[in-house]
Amino acid sequence: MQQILRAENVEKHFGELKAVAGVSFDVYAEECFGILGPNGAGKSTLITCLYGASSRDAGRLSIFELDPQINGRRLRARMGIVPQDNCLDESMNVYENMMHFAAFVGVKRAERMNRVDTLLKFMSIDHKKEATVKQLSGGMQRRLVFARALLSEPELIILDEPTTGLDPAVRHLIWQKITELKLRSGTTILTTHYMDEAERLCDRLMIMDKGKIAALGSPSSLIREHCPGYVASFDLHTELADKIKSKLASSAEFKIIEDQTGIHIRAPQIESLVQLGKDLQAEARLIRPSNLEDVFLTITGKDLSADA
Amino acid sequence: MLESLKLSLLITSKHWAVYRKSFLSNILPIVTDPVFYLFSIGMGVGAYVTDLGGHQYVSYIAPGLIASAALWTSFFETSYNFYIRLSYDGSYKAMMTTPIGPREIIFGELLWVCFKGAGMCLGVCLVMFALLRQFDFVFLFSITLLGSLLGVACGALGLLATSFVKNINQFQTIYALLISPLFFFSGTFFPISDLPPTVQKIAFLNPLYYGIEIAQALYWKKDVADILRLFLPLLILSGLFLGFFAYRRIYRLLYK
Repeated sequence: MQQILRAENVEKHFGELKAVAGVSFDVYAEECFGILGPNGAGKSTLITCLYGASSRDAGRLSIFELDPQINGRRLRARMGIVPQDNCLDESMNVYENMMHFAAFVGVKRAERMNRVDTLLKFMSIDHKKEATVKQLSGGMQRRLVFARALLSEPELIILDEPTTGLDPAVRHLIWQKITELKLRSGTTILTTHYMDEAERLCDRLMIMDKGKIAALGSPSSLIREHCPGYVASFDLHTELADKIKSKLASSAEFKIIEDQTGIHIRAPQIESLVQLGKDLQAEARLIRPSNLEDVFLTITGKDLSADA
Repeated sequence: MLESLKLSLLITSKHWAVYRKSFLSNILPIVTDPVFYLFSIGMGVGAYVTDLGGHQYVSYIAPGLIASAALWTSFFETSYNFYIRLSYDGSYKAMMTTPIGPREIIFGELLWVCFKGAGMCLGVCLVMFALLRQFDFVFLFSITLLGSLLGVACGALGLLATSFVKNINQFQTIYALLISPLFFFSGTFFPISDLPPTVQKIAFLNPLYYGIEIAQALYWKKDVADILRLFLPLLILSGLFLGFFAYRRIYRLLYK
C-alpha cells in the first residue's frame, strides 16, 4: 500500500504543556485511520498540525511528500477538512456558505453552482439551500460542513470528531456517508472519543492519551492483544466488590476492572463468567465481548469519557 | 504570490458580501456622526469663531470630518469585527481549512479596510457636499484615494490593538485612550500648530493628523504640493510601519 502520511516524533507545546508529546505514525492510501482518545488527549491539536493550521514544535511531518508547515496552502487544496467546530457563517444561507468556500478552494466559477448542488444533494440538504445557518438543526449544520469539506474533491479527508453531540439518526447518516466516501477510494483520518464510531469506521486506530500514543493497530488486533474475551459488569456495592476481590485475588483467568459505573470482570471464555455469576449468587448486569473501551481502560487505567 | 493575492481578494469579497447584508445599519453611524459634528460643533462653535485661518468654522472642520470617516470605519472593522471573526464565529478557523493561510487573512483584512476607507470618505464627502451645497470633483476623487491610505494605516493600527486585547471589552479602553485622542488631536477642529509644543510633538505621531493635513490642503486648495510632499510619505510610511507590526503579531494569533 502507498504511504501518504508520515509523522515522526511530532510535538506541539502550549507553554509548559506538551499537548502532543512525540507521536510517530503512518497513514496509507485508501485507509480510514482513526485517532481515539478522551478530551484533552491531543487529538485535535495533532489534527491542526496535519493540515497546517498550527505549527509544531518538534518532529517531522510529510503528507503527499509535502510538509504542512511549509506547503500548507498546496496541501490544503488536496484535503477536505471537517473541523471540530462547524465554523459556519451565520449571516449567510447554506448556498452562500458553499459558494464562498468553493471560491476559496479554487473551484472554477463555471463549475461552482454545479458542484455545490451535487454536494448538497449528496449530504441530503439540498432542500435547505435558502435556509440561514441559524435555521438549521445541529445535524443539518454538520452535514453542511461535510458538504463544504468535499468541495475541493479531496484526496485526503480529515474529520475532527465528526459526530460529537449529534443524535443517533444523524450519526448513522454521517457514518454512511463516510463509508461511501471510503469506497470512492478516499483516504480518511478521523478523531473520535466514541469507541463504537472507531470500531465501525476505522481500518487502523491510534489510541492517544496525554499527547502520546497508547496503542496502535486494527480495532480487532487491539482487542485481541490487550483484552481478549468477554466482560461481565456488576453493579457496584461494597459487599459484592469485597466478595469478588477476595475470590478472584489470585486468579490468572479473571481480570477485575473498577470504574464509576460498576465492577467489571474480564475472562477469555464467556462460560467462566456465567459460572462466576452463579458462584457469587449475583446476576451480571451485562455480559458482552470486550471492546475498544476496555482496551483504553486496560492501557490507561481510566475510561474514555473522562477528561485527560 | 499571485495566488496569495487572489485569495486575499476573495476574502475581501466575502467581507463585502457579509457587510452588504446589513448595509444601512453598517454605514449609518459613519455617515451621521460627521453630520452631527458639522451641525452641532460646526454651527455652535461657528457662532463664536467666525474666521479660522481665513475659513468659516463649518468649512474649517468639513475636510477633517470627511477624512476621519476612514479612521472610524477601518478601526471598527479591524478591532471589534476582526476580533469576532477571530474568536467567536470561527470565520478564520473555517478559512484555514482551505488554501487560505494567515498571510492571506491579514492581507484580505487590510485590502478590505483600504476599500472601506475609500468608500466611506467618498460617501461622507457626497453627503457633506449636499449639505453645504457645493461640489468639487477633484476633491471628491482625491479624498477617496486618501481614504484608502488612511483606511490601511488606521486599520493596521486596529489590528495591532487587537493583537493585545485579552477580551472584547478591552476595546472600550482602546477607544477611550487611543482612538478618541487620535480624533481630537488630528487637527479636525483646530490647528495643531496652536497647541503647546509637547502636545504638537505627540500629535505629529498621529497618522490621522497626516491625512487631515492633506485633506484640508486639498479642500482649501492651499499649499497642496508642499503639504503632500511632507505628509503623503509620512502617511504611507506609517501605514507600512503599523502594517508590519500588525502582521507579525496577528500572524502569531492565527497560526499558533
